[in-house]
Formats: sequence, C-alpha cells, structure tokens
Amino acid sequence: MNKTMRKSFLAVVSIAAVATIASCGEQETTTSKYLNVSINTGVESLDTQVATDGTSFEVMANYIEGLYRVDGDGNAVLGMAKSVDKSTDGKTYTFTIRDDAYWYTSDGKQYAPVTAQDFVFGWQRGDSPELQSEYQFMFTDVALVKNAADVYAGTKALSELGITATDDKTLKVEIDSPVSFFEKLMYFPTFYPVNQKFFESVGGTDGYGTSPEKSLSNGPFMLESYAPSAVSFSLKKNSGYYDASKVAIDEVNYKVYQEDSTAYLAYKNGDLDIAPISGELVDSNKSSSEFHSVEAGYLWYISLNLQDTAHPEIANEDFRKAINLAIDRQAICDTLLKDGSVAAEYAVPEQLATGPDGKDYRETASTYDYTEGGTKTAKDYMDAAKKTLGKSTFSLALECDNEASSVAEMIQAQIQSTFPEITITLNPKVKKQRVADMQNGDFEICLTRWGPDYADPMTYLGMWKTGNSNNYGLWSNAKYDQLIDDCTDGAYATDTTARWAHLKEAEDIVMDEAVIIPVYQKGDSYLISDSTTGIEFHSVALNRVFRNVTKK
Amino acid sequence: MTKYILKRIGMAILTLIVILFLLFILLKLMPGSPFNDEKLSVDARAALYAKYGLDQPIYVQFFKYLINVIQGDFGVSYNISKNTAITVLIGNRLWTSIRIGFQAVTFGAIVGFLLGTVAAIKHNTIWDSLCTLISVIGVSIPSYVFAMFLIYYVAFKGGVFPLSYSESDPFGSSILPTLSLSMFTIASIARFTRSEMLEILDSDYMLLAESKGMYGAKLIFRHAIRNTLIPVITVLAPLIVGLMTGSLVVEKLFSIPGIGSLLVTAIQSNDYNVVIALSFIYSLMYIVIMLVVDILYGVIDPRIRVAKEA
Amino acid sequence: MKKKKDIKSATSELTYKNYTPKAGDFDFLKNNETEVDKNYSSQNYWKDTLTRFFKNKMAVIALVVILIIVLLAIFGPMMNSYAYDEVNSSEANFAPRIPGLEWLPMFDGSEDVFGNKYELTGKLDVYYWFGSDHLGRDIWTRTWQGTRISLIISLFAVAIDMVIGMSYGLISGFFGGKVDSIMSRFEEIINSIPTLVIVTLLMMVLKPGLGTIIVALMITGWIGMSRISRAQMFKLKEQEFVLVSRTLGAGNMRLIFKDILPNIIGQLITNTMFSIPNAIFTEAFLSFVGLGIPAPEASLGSLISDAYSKSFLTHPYQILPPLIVLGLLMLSFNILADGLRDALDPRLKQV
Repeated sequence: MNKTMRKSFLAVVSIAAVATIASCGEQETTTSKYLNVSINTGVESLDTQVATDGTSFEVMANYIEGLYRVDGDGNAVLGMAKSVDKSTDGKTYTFTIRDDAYWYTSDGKQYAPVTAQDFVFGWQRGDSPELQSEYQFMFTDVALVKNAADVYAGTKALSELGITATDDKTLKVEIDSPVSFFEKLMYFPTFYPVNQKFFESVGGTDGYGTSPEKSLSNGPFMLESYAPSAVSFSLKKNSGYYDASKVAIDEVNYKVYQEDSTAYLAYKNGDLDIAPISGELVDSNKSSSEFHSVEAGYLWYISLNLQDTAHPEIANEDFRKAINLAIDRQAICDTLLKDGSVAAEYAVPEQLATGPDGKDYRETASTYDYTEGGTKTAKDYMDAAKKTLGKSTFSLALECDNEASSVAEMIQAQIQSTFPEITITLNPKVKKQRVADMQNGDFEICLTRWGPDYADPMTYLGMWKTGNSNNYGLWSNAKYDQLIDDCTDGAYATDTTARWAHLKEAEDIVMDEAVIIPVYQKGDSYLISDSTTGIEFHSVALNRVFRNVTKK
Repeated sequence: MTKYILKRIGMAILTLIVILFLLFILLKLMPGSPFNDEKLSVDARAALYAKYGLDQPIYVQFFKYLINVIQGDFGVSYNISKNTAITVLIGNRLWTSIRIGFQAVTFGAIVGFLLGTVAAIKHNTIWDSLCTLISVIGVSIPSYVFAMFLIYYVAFKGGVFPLSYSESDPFGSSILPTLSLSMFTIASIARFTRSEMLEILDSDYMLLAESKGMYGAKLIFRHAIRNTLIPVITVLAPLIVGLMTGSLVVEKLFSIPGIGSLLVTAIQSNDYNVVIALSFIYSLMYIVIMLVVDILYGVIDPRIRVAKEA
Repeated sequence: MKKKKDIKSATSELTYKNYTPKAGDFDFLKNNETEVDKNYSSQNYWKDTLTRFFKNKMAVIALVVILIIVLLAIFGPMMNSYAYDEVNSSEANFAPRIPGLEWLPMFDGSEDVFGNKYELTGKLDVYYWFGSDHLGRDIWTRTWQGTRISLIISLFAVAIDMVIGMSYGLISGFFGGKVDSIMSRFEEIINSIPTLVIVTLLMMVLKPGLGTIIVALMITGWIGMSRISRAQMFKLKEQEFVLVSRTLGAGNMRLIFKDILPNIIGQLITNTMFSIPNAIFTEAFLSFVGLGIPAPEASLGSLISDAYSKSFLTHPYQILPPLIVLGLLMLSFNILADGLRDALDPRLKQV
C-alpha cells in the first residue's frame, strides 16, 4: 500500500469509527417502556355513550379525557377544563376548555382542537331517544341536566338540553338542582366529548370506535391496534397530549385472559405486569412485595322479597335480623374469598364517597350491630319471630348467580347450622335468569350485588325508594322516600352538610328495618411486578388508571 | 353421480332452513332480555325492545331474520361487543379456528394413521404396546384436560412453548392447542387403523400378493394402506365434530381468538344472538363436512358408487 | 426368477440325498393352533358369545373395573361420615390423609408450600381420604357422589335413547316405502345439527338440573341406534323365518319385536356401551362451559371444572380423583364395548 492509499484508508476508518460511536450514543436513548395488563372479559364497546361495563370504561379513559379526570386519591381534578365557574345556586357551571387540548388521529396527526361543541354533541347524543343509551339515566336522574327527561322523551329538541357552547372554548351546563358530586360525574365516560365532524366521517354509531382509524384521542394514550371482541389490543403514548411529559409509558398492551389461573401463569412468566389473584393463590403470595389488595365498589347482599305471601317470615323483621346474625361474614372473606373482600354490615360501601368534611362516608356513618352490644343473640330474634308468626320450621329458596354459588353454599351451611329448623335450598341460575326472576318478583331470597355508578351514597340508597326499578324486595317507607327526594333535588340538595347527614339517616332506616342483609364488600387482589409503580385503582367508574405509571 | 350430489345438496339446504327455524324458536325461549337488565328501568327496556324490533310477532321476526341471514346479516351483538355486526365479530375468528382445527385434524390423522400402521405391522411388539397405551390415554381424557396439563408442565414449567396464543406468533403459539385437540383423533384413528390393518394384513389378497413376491413397503403401500383409508375416512367425520366440542374449552384456556371461545363467552354473557349465529355456523360446517365425506366416500370406493346408483 | 433348469437341478439334488428333517425346517406360516378337541357342536349363540367374551382378558378387566366403580358410586359416599354438601370452611383445602396409610408420602396430609394443615391446625383426628376442597367438603364423598350422578345421567340418557332409537329404526325399516322415507328425512335433519349446539341451547332455555341434562343428552343419541336397527331390519325382513312367522299369522308388532329384535340386540348393546362414555364426556363438557349440574350437586365434570379454576395451581391433588375416575370409566366402557363387539360378531368364529 502506498502512502496516499494508507492515508485515505485511515481517513475512512476513522470516519467510520466516529459514526459508529455517535450512533451508539443515539441508540441508548431509545428503550421503550411497555405495560402489559390482563382483563377478564373483552371490551364491549369503545363508544363513550354506548359502553356500560368497567372494562370498556377503563380502556376508553386511557385515550379520551373529559372535563375532569380522577387522581390517585379518587378526587376529581380538572382535565379538559382549565377552569370552572360555579354559580352561587349551584345550578350553572361554566367551564373553560384548555387551549392546548387537541384531538389526534391514530397516526399521530393533529385533527382539531377540543371545543365546547364536542361536549355538547356528546351529551346530546347520550340523551337522545334514537341512541337509547343504557346509561341515559345519568343525564336525567343523576346529573339532573336541565330538560334531559323531555329531550329523551322526544318532547323537546336536542338543542334544548341544558348544555350549550357559548363559544369554542366556553361551555355552559345547567342542572335542575345542585348535585354535590357533580365534578366526580364528569370523569364518567358517558360525559366525554365526541368530535361531531370526525364521528360522522367514520360512519356514526356503527363505525365510531371500532378501530384505531375510526377513533380520536385527546388523552394520554391513543389506540394502536383494536378490533371488536379482540383478544389482544394495544395503545401507544399520545405525544400531543398536553401533559405528555408526565406520561412515562410508551405502550399499553391488553390481553384477555378468561381464566385467572392462566393469567397468573403468564404473570409468573413475565408476560404480564399485573394479574388478578384470589383464593389459595393469595395465601401463597400474601407476603410478597408484589401483592396488592384494593377495595372494589361491589356490595354483595341478600335481597329479600318482602311481598312473598307464601313465606310470611320474610316480612318479619326479627326473622331477617336472626338470619343476618347467623351469617359468619368473616369466615366467607377469610377462608373462601381471600381476595381482599371485607365483611359488610352496612348498605353503603367503604371508600365510595368522600363527604363535605373530607372524610370517607363510612368513617362517620353509623355501625349497625343487631346484637346490641352482645345482649341479644340470633336465637333471641328467632324466638321472637317464631312467636309472632306461630311457625317453628321454615323452608326458603336462596337464589344466586352460578358464579356466586360457593358463597351461597357457605351462607346456606351457616344458616342451617345455626338454625336447624330452617331448610335452605340453593337455586343457582344463569345471571340473566336471576335478574329476570328478581324483576318479576319470582324469588324468595336472593344473593345479589350492586356496583356503584357514581361516587355518592345515593347510588345505593336510591335503590330502596318506593317504585325504583331495582327495589326488587318491594319495600316501602314514606319517611325514607321523603329523605331520598329531599337529598336528590329537594330541601337538602343545596346544603351539602345537611344532605350528608340525612343520607346517613336514610341508611339507618334501611339497616334498622333489615331491608337487606349485607354480606361482603368485594375486594380485588393483584400481583404487580416490582418494576411497575403508579397504577391507580378506583371503586367507581374507572377501575384502573394507567396515566401515571412508571416502569423501571 | 351428479344426480346424487345434487340431491344431497338440496337436502342439505332444506335442513339448514329447518335448523335456522329451530334455533330461532329456541332464541325466543331464552330467559331474560339481551340488555343489561339490572340498570334499566321498565320504560327504558321497552324502548330498547322497540328499537331492536323485539316487540313484533314471532313469524314477522323470523321472516326478517331469514332474509337477513341469506344476505349474510346475523344481527348485532348486545353484550360481547355492543352494536357490532355479528358477521364482523365472527369474521376474523372463524379463520383462526378453522386453521387450528385443520392443523389438529391433519396432525392427528397422520400421526394416528402412522402409529396404527406401525402397530399393526409390528404386531405384538413394543410398538404395538406403545400404540395401545397412547390410544388408551387419548380416548379416556378430554382434550381440555390435556390442555391444562400442557399449559402447566410444558409451557409454564418447561418454558418450551408460549403460554397462550398470540397473533404475532401464529404458528408457534398454536402448537400446544393443536396438540391438545389432536390427542383424541390420534388415539381413535390409531386404534381403528390398527384393527383394520390387522384384518387386511390377514386377508387373502394380501397373502396372495406376498406369495407373488411382493414384500415390505411396496406391499403395504399398494394394498394395505389404500384399503384402510376408506374406513378411516368414515371415522374421520365424527372426529372432526368432536374437535368442535373440544375446541370450545381449549380456545378459552389458551386465549385463542376463535369462534369456540366466542361461543363460550356468548353463553356466559347471555348474548343470545351470537349463540344462535354460531350454532348455525357450526351446523353449517357439520353439514358441509358430512356432505364432502359422503361424496369423497363415493369417489374412493367404487362399490358404494355403484350401489348408490342402483 | 430362477430359470427352470436351475430349480429342477436344485430340487433333484435334495431328493437324492439322505436328509433328516430338522426341527426348524418347517414353521407354520400363521395359524398353528392344533385344532383337536375343540367343540364345534352348534351351541346357543349367547353361550358362544360369553365364551368368546371371557377369553378377551382386556374386556374382562374393563368389566371388573366398571363394576368396582359402580359399587363405589353406590356405597362410597356412605363409607365415611361426611356428606357431599357439608361445608366446613375451617377445614378447607386439606391434603389427602388416610389412616393406616400415612407412611405413604401422598396420604399423610402434607403438601408442598402449605405444609401439613392437619398438624398446623391441630386437627389430628380428622381424616379426609382424598382431601377436602375449597369449601372444606370431603373429596372422597363428592367424587363418588359425582360418579353416581354422571352414571345416572348417562345410563338414563342412553337407555331412553336405545328404546326410542330401536323402535324408531325398526318401525321405519319394517314398513318401508313412504313411512320410511319421511321418518328417515326427519332423522337426517336432526342428525345434521351437531350435538354440541342442541345440548348447549337446550341447557340455556330449560331450567338447569338433572332431568334437563338427561333430556338434552338424549335428543341426539337415538339416531345411531335407529340407523343400526333400520339397517338390520332391511337385512332381516326378507329372511325366511320372518316369512314363516307371518304365514303362521303373526301381526306386524309381534314380528318386529319378537322375531327380529332378538337378532339385533347384540349390536344394540354394543352401540349402547359406546354411547355411555360419549354421554359422560358431553356432560363433563357442559360443566366446563358452565351449563352443567348446578351447585351443590356434583358430577365428575363439574368436580373437574371446579378443581381446575379454583385450586389447580395451589392444590393439584384436588383434581386427581374425579379425573382418574372419569378416565377409567371412559376407558373401561370403550374396551368393554370393543370386547362385546368382537364377541358378538360371528365372523370371527373359527371354523
């Protein structure tokens, strides 16, 4: 090799070396953070005004944001709205939408700014008679939006619904009566915005939300892959989100595992970052740092058909209280469920709602003790019942869902061992059949559950008002009805402190008369990998929020 | 021959319509309504019924349903995926299920056939016992139990195969499901092939061929196998049906996005429209398979062709 | 192919030498059973069948296994003091412990991870022979109770199927012509719906329970029987013995049931034996998809399904008893049916 060649050779080599070192440096900054989660059932719908189940809500909240969003402690925090002005009578809210809020299509391109009109369109749609949304009642009965009932009945036009866009970024909402938890309703997906132009361009209700190309995102993530009833789908980070710098996850991968045991194996294999566990698996994993237990919102209780003439004992208060005391809730939670469920002797679950005093409802509400400090026993109530009824043996049919049959069996065993004079037959049914039976009044006592629709005790207490379609036991108490009405849109509606106190009074009536027999409040136990932090759990609306997750 | 085929096809279509009617009647008898009854008031339910046309007389509903089905529209799902056309739901999944089912059948048939042949040829040796052992196990344990054990021991503890099905690795992650589903087929076909083959090996024309100087592989292939194929094909048809049943649970266990797991989900969430639509699809597949086997049978075995035409 | 000349010279060589035949010169090609002292007199068909059957060792073993399982299904639940639905939550998930067999590691009440729960809770005089499930119920009792239910379901379903199928096929085959045509068409349509579909739909429509499952299983099972009956009927109805009976004045029903039926019983029994495992299988499948026997009743299928979803990963011993019983039943019925078929088939009669 002559000198020139050697020089050029060296030059080439050095340039190549520099280039390699430089590109090495670049590569080190690109390691993606994935979050792999499991769900038990598939997504039912990604249409914000159509979906009704927890899984769909959870997924939608990842990529669409409403006026408010929820923080880790369950408080409503401003989301799309940058400021809010509430009128003194509490019936008018004026929201100002953020300037840096935009809609993005799934390929990452900015589509349009988020406007007040988007909220108007979404709410009108949700309340419209032609959509027949299953959550339409949120507008009429819960949020108490002005004219919502008339609009739904078709007697007034959609435009007369109590929500108007005074300009692109100003939204005015009018409600019939003050709702103390109104802000918390705003992160419920039924109230999320929908961009009308995009909605109509992808085929309206039939097309919206059925694929990433047919959905828009204004939230921390956006849909990357999805098809209806998909077993696995994923979302990727939305870099155009106004708070994108705080989102530390690049991709969320969802997969449906119908069997918890397979999900557990996948977790142990490293395929999942979070997996649900229950039963014996809890025992063997309890001491691990990966074990987490949260209280969910579901309250499981026994509903009693008070109008069952063939079984007059059900209508006898002493009898009901006797049965209540015969049930060993702690044993059910500790030996059977073991998933963080807690024994419940109340009608409104824990960690559901915070009062005007800043405390959880249950913290300041009454505790119900039928033993009256140990002075009365189950037997005492039963003896009193037998005397009044003139009967000494009883036979009842306990209905339940197929999935709840284990709990029902334990209850049956507990009642029968405390009171050998009672024979309980089990009637496990397919859920639809069980619900149909209850609606037709075709049951005696039934193990059922209720999940909260919004973070306020009214979502439970409202059920037992005379005439409410969920009042399957057909209990009726005028004083109770009055209290409920007053708290909803009557005398106490404006005074949050008074309302809170009267809600407790209402619960007292329900529990004192043993209208239902509460059993347990559902808990959820999870294994979360040590490298994952920041998953937020809630018992209402959005089960899990991944916005603030970090992965090591 | 053509007349025979046409007649069979005509019969099949008539059967399908009757089946559809029966399914429809059963649909109407299902308890509850398709909607989330708990959260709906009486009025809201009535309005939903009206919207979906569920408040009209039965024969009107069936007629509409029939017309729709002919055009390929099975209605919408109410629970699994709200407002989604069922044909869309079934669309992708059907192909996955058929693919895995086909893998299971071919694998099962080939392995079973080979196993049975070897066992027959090496009668009363260790191969024979091995074949019997496998047949025994395969026939007495349901496919989903195999799946459970395979998931735990092979996939999880052994780490050899993926735990569940994933789109990104369609072949590799379908090995364990295929294996679970094919066990019964392998066992049945191996046993059947073995007994048929033994009978044939014992028969006169084999003896004749052997005495003419034919031996070994040539003998087996030219004579034994061809004659064993006919009864094996007959047995294959009901086995394919058995595969359908087994696939329901296997798909659920492996999280396979197929029509089997869709049917299980539909049953458990009471999404009746989907249950009916899938029942119809299964019936359709069954009828088509029976038809194909019937025709194939006639083609392979000239005796049957002649007998049928007589 | 050797040339003619060579063969001739080769054989002629052998002929003219003194050759003492050796033992291995002549080997029987196949059948070397000496046929002396075998009784070939015409015996009762059934006696023949039984003799043939008992020669088949596998089939006999299968029959014995089935009998043992049936006995256990009848008497098993009574053998200890636990009831099948006795919930005892403080004794949940205990490992198997058999008094007297505690020196065997699998029956001493201990298991991996959880240790010996009997010792840990101080319940040393409590014994669960197969262990206890997640509600503290005795698995031994539940397994046999479940076997009882599974067997009842399958036997009833199959028995009803046999009666219906047999009658249907015999009548259809006997009358032939139009009657046969219509009846066959109807049967073909029913046959075209996969059992899976019919069974799942019926279970969803009707109230769940023992009776419902029997009805659902029986709806499609009769077709196999009816086909066999019909085919046999066609074969036999032109036979002379039928003609004789008819000439002597026998009515149609008598002909069908008293003359022809006994000739097909054999095949029907075999088919029945094959259908029983099928029925058990289908019932197990229904339990797995959630359409089976409702709690607290147990069937083999529901026991396996429960054990899988609740304790497969933590207490694997819970799934073994029902699984093994199911496997043995399926296997034994299959082998038994095989043996019966071989025994009944006159083609195999050695002449």
